[in-house]
Parts: sequence; structure tokens; C-alpha cells
Amino acid sequence: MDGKEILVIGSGLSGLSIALELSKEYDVEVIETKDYIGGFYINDKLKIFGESGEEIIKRYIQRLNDNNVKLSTYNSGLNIKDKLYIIGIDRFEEWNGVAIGATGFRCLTPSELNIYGYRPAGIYCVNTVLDIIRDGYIPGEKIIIYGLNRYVITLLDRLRKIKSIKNIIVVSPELKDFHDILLDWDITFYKDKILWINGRDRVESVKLSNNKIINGDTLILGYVTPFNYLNLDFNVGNSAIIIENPYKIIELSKITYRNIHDILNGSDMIKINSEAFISPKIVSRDFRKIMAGYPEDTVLDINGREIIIREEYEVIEIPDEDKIYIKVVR
Amino acid sequence: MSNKGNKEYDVVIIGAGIIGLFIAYYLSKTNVRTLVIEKEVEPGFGVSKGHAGVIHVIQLPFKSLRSRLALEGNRKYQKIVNELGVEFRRVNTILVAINPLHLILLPILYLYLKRGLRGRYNIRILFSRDKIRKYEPNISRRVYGGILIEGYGIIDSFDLVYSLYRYSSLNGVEFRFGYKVVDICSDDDFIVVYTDDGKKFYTRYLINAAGLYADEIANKIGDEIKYEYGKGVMIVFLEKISKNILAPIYLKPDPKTKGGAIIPTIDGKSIWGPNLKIVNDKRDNSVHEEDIKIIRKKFMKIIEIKPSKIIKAYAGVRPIPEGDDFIIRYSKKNNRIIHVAGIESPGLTAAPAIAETVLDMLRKAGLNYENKECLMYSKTIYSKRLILSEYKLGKGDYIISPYSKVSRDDVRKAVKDGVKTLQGLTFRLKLGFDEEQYTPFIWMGIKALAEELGVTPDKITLRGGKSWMVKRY
Repeated sequence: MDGKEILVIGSGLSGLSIALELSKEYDVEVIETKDYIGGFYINDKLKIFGESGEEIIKRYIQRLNDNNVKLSTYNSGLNIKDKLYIIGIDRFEEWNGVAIGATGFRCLTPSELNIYGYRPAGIYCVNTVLDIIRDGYIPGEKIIIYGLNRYVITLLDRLRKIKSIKNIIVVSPELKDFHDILLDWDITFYKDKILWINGRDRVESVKLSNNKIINGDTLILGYVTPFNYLNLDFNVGNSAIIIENPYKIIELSKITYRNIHDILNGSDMIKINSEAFISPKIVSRDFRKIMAGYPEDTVLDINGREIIIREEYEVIEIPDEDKIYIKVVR
Repeated sequence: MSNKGNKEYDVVIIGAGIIGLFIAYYLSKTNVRTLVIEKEVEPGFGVSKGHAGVIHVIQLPFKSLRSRLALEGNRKYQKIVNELGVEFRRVNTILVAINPLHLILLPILYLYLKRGLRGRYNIRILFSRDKIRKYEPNISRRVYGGILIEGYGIIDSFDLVYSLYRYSSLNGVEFRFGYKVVDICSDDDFIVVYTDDGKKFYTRYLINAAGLYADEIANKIGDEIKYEYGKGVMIVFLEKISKNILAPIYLKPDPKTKGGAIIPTIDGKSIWGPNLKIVNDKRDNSVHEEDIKIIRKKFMKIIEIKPSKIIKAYAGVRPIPEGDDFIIRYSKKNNRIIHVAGIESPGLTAAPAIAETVLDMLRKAGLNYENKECLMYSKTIYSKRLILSEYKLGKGDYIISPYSKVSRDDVRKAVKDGVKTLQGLTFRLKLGFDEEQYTPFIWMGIKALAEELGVTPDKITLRGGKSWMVKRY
């Protein structure tokens, strides 16, 4: 790796936050496929952690502007024959420098979630719905949401304020810390799994594991998984591991930056061989810090040594060895 | 019956599935005035969409019409895909023995198949796993041997559908989408076809290529066609799993099972299936947990790779006629009406041969026509193809999905190719075909489609009818 120019693909919180770190030393450009900067969190008005996602994003945009970082909408990174291209309006260039993926998450498909039945119109992913609302539309009037996490909460907060939406029901096998919010907002919920979707043209109902039928015209999927389709060495934020806390997304950007920075300055690299939810998977031998996307008390096996995770998204130091493998023990 | 002031057609085709389209394609090369009436909003939205894209060779029993037309149709494909610019690749099929008894029976099966194929397709025995491994490195340790048959093909059947539509419409065939045929009457001069918007169409000849609904159309004429409905589930894996089509050998080949196989797709994925289940409702394309389990279990036996999670599963419904063979015959009431019904698997393979048979029957029934000298066609070149060859996008164009490599201008071209719905966009451009279905890029597609059709996004449907996508705030 060489060069002083670095490309960040995706303008969500992870892309903006690593761009800010990088901009201290490098020329950085952030590219975004869509017509707005800010990704998921620009649509978040909830002050769960003291400030809303929108406020955090706006702060980052301001600081990036101050640092002369170029933010380009309608510009995409594409993988063509194992080479990376930037394609935008009247722009088509091969990118040979360092590129960092910040392409966010996608939702697990009904097949992946073991939901059977029909595939009518009206099944959407949580972040697709935020874009639909942003453009002045609603996905439907009687909404069923499957899954409960930070992303679903942000969406719920938007949906419940839209008058033309008549009904919102949440189905999730686990309510986690969000139980009180649902009660506060007076949202009906079922602690259950969805097994079946009914409806030939449009969603009509879903069936739960206790055979209960819930009616609705829309099913919003809330289970998310990294969506990184560019085969890059470095990914940040939700395109690396699912992180439900904006400040932890920023933290992952910071440690990823340190690793990249060291490597660009000649530090040896260690490649981590692992299917586990850890990031980054290429680290600098001088820094050696990674984030583990596991809840507390998870036990990881790192080169034969067991490590207990003390808090969610803990940053851990890996041993100074040529080869690193990481497995989840329990 | 007199026809004052109404436009007359020589041939009306009911149904714009693969069969109706192939007939339209051949007729568009002649001076025949043809109209296609389709109840769905786009071509290929019925039986044809539940397809795995395989061009077959072996179809038992060999003496069936199905088998004869499939062998004939198969050999016409190369020329057609060259003309239409549709992606098509020849592959082999390996029938594998997963039990030692089958290995002993291989020579008998081989001789039977070889005789049936009459030397037109190469076929050979692979007496050991190692011999198979030369062709298919990932074959399971549980496989004892097999039979390799050359001459199969894989095709992007959606590209074929839209290209046939484009070719036919550029060369004068008229299409009416979204209208159902409600009545048909005829006398010595004309056949009159009534549609559900109150319009009527005068024609001299009528082709019933209504797929799953050909039984109902036959009824309106006073003929009887009886169907069973066979549902087949297919599962899709994102990774390439096999180079060849792989299918286990059955000792008692059930004509209704139609095998099912591990199928490599033209874009490097893998489709497993289909299974077969008789259903009462022709609109029942639901997928059950047990379908997935049966398919997984059946095919995991023959391959060594453990595939990743299933991203997508879908079901197709096929018409299974009485006698389990294609029905291609004149109406008992009127020999200017031809039924093309019960076109189940391998209907895609046989389609060109079926269409030629139908043209022949039209001629015998008195339709005179001449071939046109001047034929128009240019393949729609999508940005995806250009991008893959490292060509720049056109001026002002931009990417709406970096995942499926679709540009804004591609949506304009797709609409010109007949796309009106999100499902059409998915079939034509692969936008939202698999894991991308649950990402915001879908919304980018809906917005672009609405813009191109000159409507607002709340008017866009998934596949016509009541399958609306969004509402106004």
C-alpha cells in the first residue's frame, strides 16, 4: 500500500468518522451512491445516547468540510474484474489506492430467517423504509416489524409520528433493553417468531410460532447483517460487524484508522484468519487492537488462549504472533 | 359475423409466456398480422418465471411428444440466441449413482439412453468417482459413478423472454398487456376475442397459449383440457457449486418427478431443485419448510461442498395435463383455433420446436403467409455489460445499484424493453434478485422506474394488480 489518497465508500457514520481520522494526514474522498450524505443515522432523531444520530452526523459533516474532505453523492464504488472503480456522473476511474468499505448493512432475507410462505409486495428492510419516508412515502398503513434493535427503534420513532399509519405491531423473540420504550410508545408487541407470510399480491398477514395470525399490509425486517460486496481489505461500521451503538461505530473507525495508519507507515501486517465478528481483520503489528462484536461474557479463543469479553463491542489486543486465529468458544 | 370498422388480425395469441412469445417471434418474421393478449402486465410473468433456465436433452419416455420436441428445440437454440444476443452456455449433465446397485445398472441405463438419443448427443459412462471428479471436482464421496450427457444448456430465461418480446414487437406484432380474455366466439369468417375492458378483437386464427389458464380458455371455446397443478420449489445459493448439471439416478423414474438437479446458473450461482408437489390452487406458489429440507437432503448427498445459507427460495407452478404430455392440437369446434397447453418441463427447451409446429398447423389450416425481407432488431445493451467491459457510462448517467451494477439509464432501456414493474426490473436487470432485495437500492430502482414511466412511486407495483409498493405520506 502506498499513496496519500484514500477513498472511503459510503457516507454513513462509519464512513464519515474514519474519513475524519484519515483527513488528519491524508487526502480523503468519501463517495456515496445515494442522493444524500449521512446514511442511517442522518435519519435518526432519537436522543438515546444524549444526542441524536442526526446531530452526530451533522457535526461530522461540518468537521469534514472544515478539513476539506470531498463528499460526493451519486458516486459509487464498483468491483469489476477484481479491480475497484469509482463511477459517478461523467466519472469513470480505476482506483489503485487504499479504499475503505463503509457500505453498511442489509437485512436478512425471509429465507435466511426461516420464514416460509408467499413473497408478496410489502416486505422491506428497516433502512429501505427510512429512505421511503425521507422521500415522502410510507411503506403501508398496517405495519408489522420483525426484530427489535437500535435500528428498529429509530424507525419506530419515525413511523409512530406519521398519522396515515394506522397500526404498528412489533414481533421479536427477544425484547432486550427496548421493552420500556415499546410500553412508553404504546406499541403492541409479541414476543415470538414469525414463521409464515400470507398474501399473493400484497402482504396480508403473518403467522407466529404459536399459530397466531397477525394482520398487516407491510412486513419490515429488522434483522441486519454486514453488506460488504466490494471485497476490500478494510471495512468499517456495519459493513464489518453489526454495531448498534453510534459511539462504538466511531470507536471502530478510530482503531481501524490506527491500524491502517501504522501499516501505511511501514508497520508489519498480521492477517487474522477468522469467521468471527471481529474487525479489522488486517492489523498493524505495532498496534494490534480489534473490536469484538459480541455481548459480555462471550468467550473467544485467540491462538489457543481463552479471552472473556467484558463488555459489548470491547476492544481487545491480540498477541504479537505471525498468525492469528480466533474462534468463539461460547 | 361481420366486422365493420374493427381492426382485423390474422392470428391472435392468448398468452405472452415463453410459448406465446416464440410463436409471436416466428410470426413476426412473416407478413401475418398478429396480436398477443396477456393478462399479466409483462411478458413471462406466468409459468415462465418459475424457471431454472435449463435447456434439456433427456426427457423420458423418449416416445413422448415432450421428448421429441425438446430434442428438436434444443438444437435450434444456438441460432436463436445468436440472433437475439441472449447469454447461453452449453454444459454437461452428470447423472450420478449414489448406491452400489445403481453402479451395476449403469450400462443398462447407458444403452437405453444412447438408443433414445440416436447418436445426436454424446453420452458416456463414468465408472468411478475419480472419473467423475475430472469433470466435477466437488462430487461427493458417496457417489459411485455416473453417466455424462453432453448438449445441455443454461440460459438467462428472463433475458430470452424480454428479447423475444422486443424482437416481435419491433417487427410488427402487437401486444396488449394487463387484459384478460373473458369470451371467445367464432363463425366461418372470424373468431372474436373479448377482453375484460369491453374491447373485442377479430381474428382468423386463434392460439391458446395461456399456460396455467389454457384449461379455462379451452372451456370458453367448448373444448376440454384437464390439468393438475404441479408446484416445484427451487433454492438459490449465491456461490458457484458445480460446473455441470448434477442429478441423482432414480431406479423407478417417476414421470412426475422430473428429477430436479443441482444447476449452475449463467451468472455463477447455483439453483437446487425443483421438487414436485401436486396442489389444488394454481396460484399457490408458497414455499414450505419441508420443501427446503427435502431439496437440501436430496442434493447434499451428491456434492462435497457445504453451501452457505439459503438466500432465496421460490416456487413455480406448472400445468400437468391429462396423459402427462404436451397438448398441441386443433380445437374440436374449429380448426382455426389451436391449443398449446400443458407445456410443463421441458417447455423452455421445446418452445422453438413447439412454435414451428404451430406455424405448420396454421398453414395446414389455411393461413397463407410470406416471409418478410426486412427485419428489425438490435439487442438492448445495458450499462452493466458496458461496465463489465470497462466502458464509461453515457453522459449524465449514474449508478443506482453498485451491487447489481445497474445504472439509471439501464432503467430507461428496461422500460423500452417492456418493463413496467419492480419484478420486471429484477428479471431484466437483476436489481434486487437475491440479497439485494432487502437493501435501499430497491427504493432507488422504484424511484427510477416511476420517473421513467412518468408516474409517482405509489403507482409502481411489484407485479401488477394489487401488488402496490408504497403509499403517499
